[in-house]
Amino acid sequence: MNETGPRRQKWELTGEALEKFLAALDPDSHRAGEKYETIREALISFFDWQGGLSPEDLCDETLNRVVRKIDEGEVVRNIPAYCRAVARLVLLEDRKWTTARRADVEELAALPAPAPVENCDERSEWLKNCLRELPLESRQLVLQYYKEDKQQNIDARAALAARLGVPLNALRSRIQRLRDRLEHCVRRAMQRKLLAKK
Amino acid sequence: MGTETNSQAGLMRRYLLGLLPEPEQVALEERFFEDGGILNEMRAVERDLVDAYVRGQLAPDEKSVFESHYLSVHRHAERVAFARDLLRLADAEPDLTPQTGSTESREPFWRKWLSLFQTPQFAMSGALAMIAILVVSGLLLFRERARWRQELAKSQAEQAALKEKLSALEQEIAKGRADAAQFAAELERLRQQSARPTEPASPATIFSFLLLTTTRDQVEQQTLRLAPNATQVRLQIKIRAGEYKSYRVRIDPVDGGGAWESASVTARSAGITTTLSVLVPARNLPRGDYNLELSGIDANGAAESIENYSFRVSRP
Repeated sequence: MNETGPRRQKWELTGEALEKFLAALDPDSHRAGEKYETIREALISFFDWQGGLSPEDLCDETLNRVVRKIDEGEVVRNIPAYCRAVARLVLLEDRKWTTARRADVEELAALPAPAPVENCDERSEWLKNCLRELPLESRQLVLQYYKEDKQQNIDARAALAARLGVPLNALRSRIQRLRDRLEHCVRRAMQRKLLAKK
Repeated sequence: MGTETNSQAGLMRRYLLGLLPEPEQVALEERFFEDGGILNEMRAVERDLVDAYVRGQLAPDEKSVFESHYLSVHRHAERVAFARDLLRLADAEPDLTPQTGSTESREPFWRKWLSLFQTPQFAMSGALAMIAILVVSGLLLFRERARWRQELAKSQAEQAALKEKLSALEQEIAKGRADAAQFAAELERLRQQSARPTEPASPATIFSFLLLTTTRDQVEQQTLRLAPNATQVRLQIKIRAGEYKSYRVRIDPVDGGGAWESASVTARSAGITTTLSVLVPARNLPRGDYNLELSGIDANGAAESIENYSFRVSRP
């Protein structure tokens, strides 16, 4: 572990090493690229759920270590599982590093604190504006989907899917995409406000 | 917590709360590292969990674990704040939509008008009224023509002013674009710097580039400068979040030759942005000009062209 924490190991990623890694993922270069991206997504989510300080950096560090091992001749039969195991180690190191520098981390974490629940009028206004940016049908769909049905919310959603003539899973996926879009829109508004303050 | 314990969603939920014993945790992680579909399912379960917390639907022990485990991460607290706003808004039934017509007026308006003319009393008075209307319309038309001439002169003056404004706006857009390009370059520089904090100018083999939309006002083409040792090129594209299930990226050399295509690319949100990322073998990008076509794939698998990007690849 060096000065910048567990994220950096002194090893240089080479083109040859990366080619080896991709070839080990899949002999077809196109599919190898897709598998690489899937592992990357999984790593970022893993570090996010496990509370890693910077999921993207931890993901890069993990991939570097795996590529290095394969380059050094290690035979890895299941690369996604191997990546997961290495990610666990990187996470442990990250936790140790974070604990050792708790004061700095707390200072950093305190910077963009989320709006307190009691004063969320502004956030709510942003959300309303973001909803207005959606097409009418999508807007109504999101509001209907999330409207609380105190009896049986799941049945209400199944009924909504039936009314639209789509399977519940398809409705769920669509709602997820719309929710991502809204969340992104609200974050953008927050970011604009932060920039304006500066 | 009990009823869901054995279902997949239950397992995922317990994972997110840090309640899974290690062997099950490892098994689940191996599944979502292998399968993007499982990863998406996990994300859906995460949202449901957050919503249940906001709705106060978690059992006391689950709520307590949620607060001590999940909410201890700042990013997660932000997700909860967003969910709280969204659910509150959905429950409040806000008036965010234009008023739609009432159910009473289902009969077309022209049919109602027609029914007036069908009464016998209306026949005579209707004819007289029609004559009066014709006379008055003629007079109004004459007056309107004079007014029109005045309006025309006025609108010509306004149009000239608008043209000036438009030109100023175009300049602003061009400036904004230049700023964005500068920001992208700075971002790339910082990214490479942060990847190698202590090593000066070490050889990199994956080159990342942020592609910007090609606009009418764009004078200079984006150029990807690839080092001789580049083996992979990651092209990143900022998009609007949540539009499509997945995306297709096709890169065509402008002067002909073989195209490169990635048929199923998923978007990922990180921070305030949503990004598509594709890894292209550098050997598929010899020196030259390229056109990248981005298409969205909807739930039925149909592709729709969304955006085109043009760029140039240069090599020393």
